[in-house]
Amino acid sequence: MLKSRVTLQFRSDSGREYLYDDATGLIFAWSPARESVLAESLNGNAGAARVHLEADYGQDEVEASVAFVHRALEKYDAFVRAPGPAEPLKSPAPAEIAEYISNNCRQLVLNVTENCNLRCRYCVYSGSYLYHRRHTTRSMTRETAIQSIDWFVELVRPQITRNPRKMFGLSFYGGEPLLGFGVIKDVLSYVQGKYPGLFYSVITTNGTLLTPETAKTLVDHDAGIAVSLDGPPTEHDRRRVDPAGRGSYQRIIRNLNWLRREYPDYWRTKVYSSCVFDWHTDLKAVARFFAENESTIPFPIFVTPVGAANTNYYENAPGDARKRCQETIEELRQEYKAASINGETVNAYLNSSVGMAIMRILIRPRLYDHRPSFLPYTGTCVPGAKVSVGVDGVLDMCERTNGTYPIGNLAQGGINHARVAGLIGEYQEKVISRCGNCPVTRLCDLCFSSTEGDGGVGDPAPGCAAQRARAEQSLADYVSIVERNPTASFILKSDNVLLERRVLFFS
Amino acid sequence: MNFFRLVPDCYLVEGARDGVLYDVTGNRLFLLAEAAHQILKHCEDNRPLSALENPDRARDFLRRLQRLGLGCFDSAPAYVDRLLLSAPVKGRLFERPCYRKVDWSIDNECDLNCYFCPRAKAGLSWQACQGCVRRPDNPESVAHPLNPEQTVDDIADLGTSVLHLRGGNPLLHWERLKSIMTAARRRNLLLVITTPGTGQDPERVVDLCSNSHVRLNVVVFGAGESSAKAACGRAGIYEWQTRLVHALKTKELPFFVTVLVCGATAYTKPEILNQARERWGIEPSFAQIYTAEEVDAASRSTYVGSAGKPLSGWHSPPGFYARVQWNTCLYGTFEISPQGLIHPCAGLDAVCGRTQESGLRAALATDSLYGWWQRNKETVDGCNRCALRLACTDCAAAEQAAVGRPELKSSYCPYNPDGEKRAYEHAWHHAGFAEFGVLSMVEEECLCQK
Repeated sequence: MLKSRVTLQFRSDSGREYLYDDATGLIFAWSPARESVLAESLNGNAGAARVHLEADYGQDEVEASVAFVHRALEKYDAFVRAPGPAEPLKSPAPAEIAEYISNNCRQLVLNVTENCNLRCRYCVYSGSYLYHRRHTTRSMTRETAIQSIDWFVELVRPQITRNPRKMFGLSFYGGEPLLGFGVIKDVLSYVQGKYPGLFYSVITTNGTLLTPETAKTLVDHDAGIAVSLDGPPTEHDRRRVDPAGRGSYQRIIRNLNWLRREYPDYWRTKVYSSCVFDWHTDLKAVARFFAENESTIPFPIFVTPVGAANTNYYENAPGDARKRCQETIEELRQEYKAASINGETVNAYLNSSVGMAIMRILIRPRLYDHRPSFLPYTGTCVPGAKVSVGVDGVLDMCERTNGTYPIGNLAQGGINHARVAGLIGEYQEKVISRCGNCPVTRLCDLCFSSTEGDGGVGDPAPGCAAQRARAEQSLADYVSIVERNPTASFILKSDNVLLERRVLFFS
Repeated sequence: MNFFRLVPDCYLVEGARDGVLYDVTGNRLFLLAEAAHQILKHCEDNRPLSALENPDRARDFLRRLQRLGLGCFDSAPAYVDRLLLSAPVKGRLFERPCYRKVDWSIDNECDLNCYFCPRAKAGLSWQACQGCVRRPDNPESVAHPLNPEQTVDDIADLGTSVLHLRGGNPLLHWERLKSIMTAARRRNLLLVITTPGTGQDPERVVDLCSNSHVRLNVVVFGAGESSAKAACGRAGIYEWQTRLVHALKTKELPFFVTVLVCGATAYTKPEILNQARERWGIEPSFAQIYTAEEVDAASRSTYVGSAGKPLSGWHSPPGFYARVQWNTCLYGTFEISPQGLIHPCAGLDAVCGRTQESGLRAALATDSLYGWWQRNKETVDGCNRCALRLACTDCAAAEQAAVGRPELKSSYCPYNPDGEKRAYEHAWHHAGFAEFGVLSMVEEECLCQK
């Protein structure tokens, strides 16, 4: 069977060579001698080349390298992966898709409204994005919302049957979901009465419409809040504005202040910030803002850049804006590394921006983390593993996709498995077919959302190059930290996953 | 080549004083003599060999380790990425428990009157789940729930493949047993029935076992009539059980035998093994129970008569990593008592749920049970200072710590990790490993055994 070598060499800051092996997910300390031994072994030439290698590297080093490389080959099946690029992928049958979704679907997103009381300049619904809708006044009815819940529970019934502890994510999204608070309140009450303990709820909100009533409802139902807050007033109000162009910072802070006073425990455990930056953001000032106000501003759990694909958002940006932004990110990356190496407290904003990429190396998928056979590479979800319900009951695979390639409709019985199979076939053809030789498939973030075009999958090529570069950088950063500080503590702040202690067990 | 590091799947695990090398993919275990331990610790700290007092001697030792495939020389310090089989994160809210086996004590009634039963009289018990010792909570038959078919369905829905029925003596409730058997067969569950084999005619029991979904686990007392009589106070039990075993063998039906060793058992383990092999042609399992009065006999231990404290190989890397995370005995299982209470296992009295109030599924939805699954050796005082803690799956220490009597651990394990005598000076029973040995700086002192 044709096999491809799937490894990526990189260096730590100390200059030490390493080899990331995508076949196992392991990182090996590397050297020219180990590389030569591996190359000769894969060529089936190890025995004959030994004398020549010993002349180059010395007997001891070759002996050690042979021991190292052969153990990795024999015990872990490292360095190469089958099938090679010529192996055709099989498209899943609709029945296989149906079974997969029922057994793996984990989250329901309710888009309760397409309206918003703000007009943030970078919003995907602002009109600056090629394939996304604009704001409308459409909202989800109570009936559609309740129907979504009941349909979802039946969809995931096999998981509920198997696992008495199973919980599912229930997210309220928009537009600004608090504009549809009546529906949210009804859904939370309905779920509490009919499906107690089955859902973990969270709402993504701009925070301007939080009132004592809305807050009490969310607290009573233990629903988490992710408030969009980009940083200090100068930064936040530059883009997060109402239709009249007025900033929203003061309103949000006022609401967060009383929320903190009224519900201190809830504040500490259930309220987070979600932050966005663009090329013009003073990232150092934002990082300082979150550090200096950590007792009054929610922990920034998500920090994401405004993307440059399929948008005219940056068309008036100065020519060097992107470069300057990247230079600042580079400085913050070095700052994060230095703090981690020295065992200092890492700034929360740095942790969630530059730190998360490094953290992802630590929590990367390993040998036994198998993906479904029909989507073996990249980080994409299987369409239907999460379901986003639009205001009209149309189903999308994610709240972040552009809405031009839905996967079903509540009114037509839910997920259209043939349609999902078709989308997977399209993704296989345009994206996965390029992955056979890729050395970073376990570290890859590409998904339907990040490769989408109009009506389905677009061109992944630019994303591929960026994924590889990012993986190489993150690997080097991670190893540079743990080389100097093997017990460096990485903060994984998340509402739904936990770092296991076994990763630290042998450190 | 001034540095040496262990390969990614070999771990130096340290205790209070000792160090042990674990080869995860090779299922090999090496106890380290003191100097060997110190050198490896030095290497794993990424320090150069030239900083050692006698680097040439260390190189000789490390060369042997390289030949054994345990580590490699390197020319520079390096970060070694340890082998993990899966990403070290878990869902906070979406974690899926994996149920391996469910024990269900369907009654608390027995036709024997053993002097150590019910378990309230016990000072020490070991592998109680394999024996037939009754729960202390209710000596009478309660037989909850009233609808056993629904309970079988609930258990099957959890994804488990084995349902283990215990008692008392489940054979005393014949009709109930048969309805459970029918439901289990419908749900494709393997039904294991632990019983002394009394209370029903052997031919009738053999007929029950001719169903391919049923396995009998016959609990016997020692290796002959005298110890059986001493244990349960009745003559003829051993002969009755022998009749049952012979009938099962004649019909070529699969079954198990568990020898319940107690203070009155007048045989050593090898004697019992030999008798079981000669008379029945089988390899029995062992469980033990001693009354509070018998505990004083310090020689009582799980490995009485064998070469040393049993260690346990992991057979596959996932088995090793399971030990790092879980209590290998309690993980994936629970017991339903005759009263419908959920316990971590048949040997523990902690209540983790009440099925009679809300049903099995609701009882399992709380966190109570799952905390027990995580009580591995790291959580047991003494064991957490033992370098062999990942090579030992003895459930007794964790159980005794759980009930507040950690001092009883010494009845089962003579090794004191804080004591003067080192691990490599003790005798260990290590049949489960592909290779086991002591590694010393002096090659002639290294004892490796397949």
